[in-house]
Amino acid sequence: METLAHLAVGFEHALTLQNLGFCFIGVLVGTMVGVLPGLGPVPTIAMLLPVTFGVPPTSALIMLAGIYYGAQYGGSTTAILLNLPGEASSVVTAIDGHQLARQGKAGLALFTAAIGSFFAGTMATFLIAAFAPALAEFALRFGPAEYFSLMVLGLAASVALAHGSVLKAIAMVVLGLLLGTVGQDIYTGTPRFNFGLEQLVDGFNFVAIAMGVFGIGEVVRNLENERTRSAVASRVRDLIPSRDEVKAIVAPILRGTALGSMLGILPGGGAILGSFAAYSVERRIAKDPQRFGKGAIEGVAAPESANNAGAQTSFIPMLTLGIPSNAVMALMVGALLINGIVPGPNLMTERPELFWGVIASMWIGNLMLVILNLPLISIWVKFMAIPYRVLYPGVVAVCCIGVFSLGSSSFDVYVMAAFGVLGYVLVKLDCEPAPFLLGFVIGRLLEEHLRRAMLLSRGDPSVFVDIYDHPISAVLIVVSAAALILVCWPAIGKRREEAFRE
Amino acid sequence: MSISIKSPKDFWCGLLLIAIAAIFVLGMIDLPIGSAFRMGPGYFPLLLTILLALLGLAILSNGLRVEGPEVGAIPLRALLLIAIPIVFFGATLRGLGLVTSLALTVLATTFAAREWKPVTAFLTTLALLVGCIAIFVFGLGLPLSLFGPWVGGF
Amino acid sequence: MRRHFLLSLAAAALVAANAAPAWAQLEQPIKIVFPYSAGGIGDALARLLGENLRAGLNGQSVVVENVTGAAGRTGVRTVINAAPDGKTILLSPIAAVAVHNHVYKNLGYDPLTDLAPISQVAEFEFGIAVGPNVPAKTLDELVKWAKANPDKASYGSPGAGALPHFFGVLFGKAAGIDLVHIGYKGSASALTDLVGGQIPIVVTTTSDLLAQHKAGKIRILATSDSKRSPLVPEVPTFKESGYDIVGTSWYAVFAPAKTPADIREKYSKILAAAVKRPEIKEKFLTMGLYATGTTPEELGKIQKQDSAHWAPAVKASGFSPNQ
Repeated sequence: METLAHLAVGFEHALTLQNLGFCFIGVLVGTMVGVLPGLGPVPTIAMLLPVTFGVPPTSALIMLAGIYYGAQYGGSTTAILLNLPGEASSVVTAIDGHQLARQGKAGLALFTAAIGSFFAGTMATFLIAAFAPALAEFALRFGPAEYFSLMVLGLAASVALAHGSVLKAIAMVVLGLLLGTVGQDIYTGTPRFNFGLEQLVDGFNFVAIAMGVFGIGEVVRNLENERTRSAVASRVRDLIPSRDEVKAIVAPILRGTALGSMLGILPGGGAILGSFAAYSVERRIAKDPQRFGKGAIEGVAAPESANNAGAQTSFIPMLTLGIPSNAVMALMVGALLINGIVPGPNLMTERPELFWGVIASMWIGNLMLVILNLPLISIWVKFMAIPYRVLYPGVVAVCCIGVFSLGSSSFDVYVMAAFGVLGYVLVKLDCEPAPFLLGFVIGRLLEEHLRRAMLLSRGDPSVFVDIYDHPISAVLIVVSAAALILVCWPAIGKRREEAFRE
Repeated sequence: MSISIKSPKDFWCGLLLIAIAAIFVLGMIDLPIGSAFRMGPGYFPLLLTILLALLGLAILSNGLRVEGPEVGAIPLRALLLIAIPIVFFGATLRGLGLVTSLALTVLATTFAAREWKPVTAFLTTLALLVGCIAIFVFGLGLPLSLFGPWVGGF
Repeated sequence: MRRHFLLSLAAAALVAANAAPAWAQLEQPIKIVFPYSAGGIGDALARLLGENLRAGLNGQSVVVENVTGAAGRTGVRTVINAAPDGKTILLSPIAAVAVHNHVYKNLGYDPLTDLAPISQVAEFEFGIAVGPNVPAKTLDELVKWAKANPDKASYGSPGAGALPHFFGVLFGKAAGIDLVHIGYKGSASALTDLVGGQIPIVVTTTSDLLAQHKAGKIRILATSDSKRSPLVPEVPTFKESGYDIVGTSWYAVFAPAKTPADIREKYSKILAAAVKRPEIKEKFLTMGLYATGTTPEELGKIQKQDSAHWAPAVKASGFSPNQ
């Protein structure tokens, strides 16, 4: 009941004309930068920061939050239509979403993404409203050992992302992990593998790599099949899923929401695992896992829900503890500070109108996104009708500008070109890019948490499986071991060849 | 038993992975390994490099044992005419400014596909240029200069 | 109707937000280079200063560019190599312009001579805080605790090679204890581990510790300036607690070395006047910054002094990336 009273306060503030306006601007701008590959919410929010100097803090935060989840939302559109994932979470959506689009079912994929995101957003909003402080306490129990074990589990599960050879999938994960170690070592400052290039001191930029491996690689792949890749017009009628399709997406959306919400709470990098984990789970429990990677609608529904739920619950550490869990949250903390508000554990009691107003606005923003995007889908699907040879110079142009803008760096553009070539070659050799990218994202976190845990334990590796002091870590390690055995089991048997290379 | 490549995809994939592992070995020469307590910057990469090399070997040997499909032709023209314009864009954006650099980049990429007519290529470039400037520079306010110092701007 | 209203509102806001720098393409804007990525106090500060510089120069457009990379070195080098015409300036924290010359052997430039000072805009200091698992209420108690628990005595900092890392080394030396340093990526993740009891001690910017301290989740035991912090006046300084170490950090604006003095004077006056305005001062304080607003000459002196001040700490830390 208390929750409802709080939410009432929140809606009272979020539903003022001014705040509705800011919410709308936020989700609109967010969708726009999400759809444009490369840009992402961080530079956008930074550029809009001066605009918030003059507006009340609640409105400012509502707008910035809108940009954030609007961008998450818009990102899936480009991933589905053009196989261009702008961030780690939409890498997974691209796998099956783009396949669906090529089969003329772009409308269905986009619709599923929209509905999944909306449902997940709604559930996550209520979760935050009801349990935010308790969830934050839970998140604090995750130390370096727990995060390391969680990442190991994520890697074990990531092998399921590939639909070809298990061996190659593992190799791709390891390659990703290894490329993730390029750059200055965070504990000693020693530059690694930069071969004298100062631009590599901070390592490779994820977006540049993702744009290259997926986007540019895809362009070359399509040009190769120039004559075979016909434009597939998707009819708007296909937007509304059939009864069977509805049945197929309900459970994945629920599971994705649950997984994404839990992982999103963890500030040390849990959120990026959400969509990967959701996809792996769907694939593991599906009756016919062979469909995955070839346009399985569950492969869109679950990760998109997980992604949006996680985006929402990642607000929990900031709202309840004042600790930003990612760069976007850090920007929002900055916006609050400029407005004279110090976000911290006391925010909820000192500024209830801000706290609950922002939470209420999340739901309103999600509603706006659905209202805004459902009509847009009929426009997006027309993209698929444009002949590819007209489309691809635009894809290249937008990728170039987007990637350059990340850090005003020409080097990032070169990286994109190089990884475009590598991505093309890898796919040609039947190696899939998704596990590679997951490995890359996790690589740094894995090493960071491993070494931190070892420093804290003074070199005693038993911290990871200590049931008394680190029960969560111990459980995670056991689960990952089980997952790995499950994945590798068919590979050990004689039937491996048939099972894994149809 | 003679050694022959039975599955070219696996064979080349394994070779590529081993080559990448070799590059990392070169980069690792100076990196201290450290101990389990104070892991040096080389500890984690060393483990991964060994693992990658082993996986590469396993895939390579698969390529020698199990029959598999051909790699297929590499569309060199498309690959180069996409990658090189991108590099050109990165190299000239600051100097030429967005207008000139992007126009040349886009025009160059149109050569990657064979079906372009000069007129449509030109018109597409123009349309893209206007669209990108409208969205990125005026819509989102990115700090990109339109005309760089090489063409008399700043 | 409402839909229409919202749409036009959105359009108006977008135009207002972005048209200024865009139309400025028609004249050359002043570029403030911030050598780190967007997000965080420094970035917000850059944008705040940009607004004020624009106002002070009769609407001359000012853009902020995040030239990231190599712990700030890429951005600093960009400014050093820019034309010295006042169109490119740098906003940097102390590390990249006064400490990197001790840290990196092959820096390739000397921030003390290759940059011309404009104005130091704000100062801030560090605090040392303990988490829920450490009973210490004073620095002395902390030192006792660390001596009794040598296998637990680790401290976190926002990054290896950041000033709080070096300040922790100074403290360990002054107290005669061996603290294992654990680098994080930014204050936020270090704080998460501190509040959750994963790590016992964190040294970082005082303002980053403030909210958790006030909520009773952690305890700030001392602050690093020679006088008490206005944010936590009840907390003693290191000096008062009997450890003779002082260290502060700051943000300052620089230009390429050959930028004419009159341009620098002009910018310096505008910025100094801006940060001395009461409402900006107050804004700074919530950001944990103490507004200063110096002349170019004063900044030049501060830069030299502080560079000399941190040299021994960098050396003692043993932090020496091979670059």
